[in-house]
Amino acid sequence: MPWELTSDRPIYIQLVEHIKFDIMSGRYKPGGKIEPVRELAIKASVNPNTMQKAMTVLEQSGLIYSNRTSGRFITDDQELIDSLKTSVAEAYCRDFIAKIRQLGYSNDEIKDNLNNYLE
Amino acid sequence: MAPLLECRTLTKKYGNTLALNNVSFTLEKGRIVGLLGPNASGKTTLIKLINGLLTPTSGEVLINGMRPGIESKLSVAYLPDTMFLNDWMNVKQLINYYSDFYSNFDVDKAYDMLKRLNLDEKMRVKAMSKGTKEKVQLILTMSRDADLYCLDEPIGGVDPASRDYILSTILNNYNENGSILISTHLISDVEQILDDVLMIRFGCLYIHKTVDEIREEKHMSVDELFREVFRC
Amino acid sequence: MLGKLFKHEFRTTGRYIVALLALLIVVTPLTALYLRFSTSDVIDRFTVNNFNIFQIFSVISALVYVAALVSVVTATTILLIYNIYKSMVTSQGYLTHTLPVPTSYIIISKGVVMFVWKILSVIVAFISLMIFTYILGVWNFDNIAAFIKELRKLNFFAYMPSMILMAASLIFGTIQKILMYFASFAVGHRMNGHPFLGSVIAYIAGSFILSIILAIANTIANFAFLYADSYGLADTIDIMMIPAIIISIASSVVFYIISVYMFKNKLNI
Repeated sequence: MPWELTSDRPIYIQLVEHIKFDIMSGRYKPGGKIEPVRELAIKASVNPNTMQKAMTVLEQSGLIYSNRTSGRFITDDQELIDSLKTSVAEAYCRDFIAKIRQLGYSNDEIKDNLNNYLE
Repeated sequence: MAPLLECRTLTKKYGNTLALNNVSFTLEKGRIVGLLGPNASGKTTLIKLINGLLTPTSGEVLINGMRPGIESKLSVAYLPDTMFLNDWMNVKQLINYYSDFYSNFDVDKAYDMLKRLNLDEKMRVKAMSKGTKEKVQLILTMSRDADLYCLDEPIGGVDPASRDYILSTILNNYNENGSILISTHLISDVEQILDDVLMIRFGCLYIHKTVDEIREEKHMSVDELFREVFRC
Repeated sequence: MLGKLFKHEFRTTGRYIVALLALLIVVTPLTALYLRFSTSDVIDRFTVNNFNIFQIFSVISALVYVAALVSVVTATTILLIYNIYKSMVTSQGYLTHTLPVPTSYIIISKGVVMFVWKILSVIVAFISLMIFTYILGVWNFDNIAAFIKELRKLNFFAYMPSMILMAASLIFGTIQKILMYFASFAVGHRMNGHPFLGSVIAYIAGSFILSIILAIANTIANFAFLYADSYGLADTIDIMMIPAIIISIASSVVFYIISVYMFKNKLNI
């Protein structure tokens, strides 16, 4: 199944996000191997050059490193992954709070609703 | 090092009709390029000129620096948008034919892909459904080890599952030493496998950019840009 | 590469040509036997009022046989012409003309194959006729030997040179016709939207020009002949045939050059 990609942003950026998500969610284990570019490109149904671009960005961010002989691996720097998770989570929260405030809830009401929902 | 494909002020007239007007561009290897435009915009004319099936009215087309001829026919693989195979041949005979004339034809790859379509090697083209025929033509073309693949409307008139099959076949056969030129008007289906885009309008080269450039500069997909450009 | 082209061309055309010729060979003795049966004494028993139904069928079958004989030779030619047109001008041309072979090879391979089948069809028609007449008792191995002896007595074999010339004129004529088909397609296919019509027009134009040239050549030959001493019948034929053969060869070369040039440099499919 090709990956879900929207049409208004460069594809390579969306690929970066998709892979980042797989790293954060644990689908790719820290220190584990990631498929070669061609394979991933075929899986995602995208141009291999585009996938390569995404890989380059990920390598620059330190989330992925490549070993010339044995392929590409996820970083085992758990701190890096965690900080990525945190910033993504923070962005989700910011987004959620902005939206829910539009409905007119106060901070306390928000907290109560959340607690009730989580139970 | 000559570019893989170069068109210099390429023009083609049919009687009084101008099918291609002063088209110039170069293509390097390792790219998947979309040749996009509405019907009768000159896409097929351009592809036929590259393959030596038409001769230019003026200007020239060069493959690896050479005019279309025997050498370029070895390095360019053409998939027309019509049926071009001999009706009476069966799968095995087709593969023999291709491997006889094309020294860089990968017989094993072809058999492998055809077997995966559940095709018996004794099945004749005549007995195949339209969709199957199109896939067979694609497989034969992509099993050649060419520098440039010219695919004319490979996914037109084909069901969505077959479309996925065709696109993944194209991706699977992509190699960095060659390029693939896909002519189509179904842009949203192919956009994500394209590197570059050549948009042809009334026989003229209107846009030549990468997909990322278009998305970054215009904040829209190539498909959306196309609809805007060719709005009726 | 040329060998491979030959192989594939024989295979493509052989499928139906061989079937057609084989059919003729099979049908011939059946028709002949039927004809023999229907003219034998057995049939007379079925005569009623001077009318015998089997005799009508026998006449029909004789006619059908003759028609079949002619048709098979003609059909072979038509099928082969169609094969050339289909593989060079229609969508199959996309495959033919993108093969990494010289245009001349394509024309040569198809032309030679057509030539071989044409000659073969004539030979098979001749064999069929021989079988037919043999079964009907027109000849047998004894009276054939006697017939050849008679021919020798009449000094028939002094006419060998003429017969050779006749054979040459047939052979070169066939080659010329084949190359003329190619040239007609080569020129005519460029007619936008109507490649077949264009080919027909090109063929008619070519035939017309050729017949004028032939007429001129024959007139000249006749004049040359008049100024010479009187010759016998055989020599007259020779003199008529020589210009024809020369023109066949020359026009074959011209048609070949036109075909290669047009298909190589002016292709439009």
